[in-house]
Amino acid sequence: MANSVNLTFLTSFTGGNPEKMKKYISMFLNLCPGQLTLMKEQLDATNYDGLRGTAHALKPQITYMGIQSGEDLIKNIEKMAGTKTEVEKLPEILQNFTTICEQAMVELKQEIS
Amino acid sequence: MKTLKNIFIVDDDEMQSSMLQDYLSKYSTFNVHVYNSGEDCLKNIELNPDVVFLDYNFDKVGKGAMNGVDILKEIKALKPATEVVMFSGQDRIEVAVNTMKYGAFDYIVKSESAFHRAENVIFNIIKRLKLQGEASLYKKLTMTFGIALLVMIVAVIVLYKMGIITNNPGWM
Repeated sequence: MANSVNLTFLTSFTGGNPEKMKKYISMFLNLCPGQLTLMKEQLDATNYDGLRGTAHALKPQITYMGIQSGEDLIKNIEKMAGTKTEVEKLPEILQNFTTICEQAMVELKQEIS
Repeated sequence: MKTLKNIFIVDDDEMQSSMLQDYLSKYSTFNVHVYNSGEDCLKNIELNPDVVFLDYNFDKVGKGAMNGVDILKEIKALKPATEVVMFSGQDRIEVAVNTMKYGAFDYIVKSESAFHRAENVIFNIIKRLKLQGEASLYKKLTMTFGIALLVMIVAVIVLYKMGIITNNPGWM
């Protein structure tokens, strides 16, 4: 399987400092699982405004961690939940996004171990 | 001349705040203060921040939390000279225009280039402060020169009236 994360930006941002890389990756690893669970709960409860807000908050972190295959998905989740259009597609998109993030988190854990 | 000293970062996203704080830490002359809500920022507004980097959304803080535009309005009402730079994950132009309408200095979309843009904004603010300082100096010099000229004209008139100076000085 191809890598889900591309750490080019983070490496450049931190100047390749391993401690700083570890700090930001750890922050993401602490944040992401809770946000994925929250989005699932919000979708199940058809709380689309809440889902939009959570997706919006997670979006920059996905970019900073270089999870490129997840960027369009999180943007779509934010947009669809915000406009409440094509909401029937949201479960599948959220599932795909969750799978990508879970794979990315495995890779990120390896990166800092 | 006024220089830029205090910078506030106001964001409920810990990672974003931390990254921006780290990015700005290369400039040791700035005191960077980080707050995770608008309420905390306003409690500390008497520290007189020169620049506030302010998030647009505060969804994580809770439902009753002030949003970015409300905080922006409050900061500008309390400290009109403070420059507020909005940070948001929204790249919609109407969101940016809305914040500018309420006095934001600039609007930055949270992306990989956001940190570099924040740095440029700081340089632009410093440049503006420098220009304002120079304009103020030129204004003072112009006024001083104008007053000196006026005093000289009055002195010439008075001396002329007193007969100390005439139309036909003796050496001509």
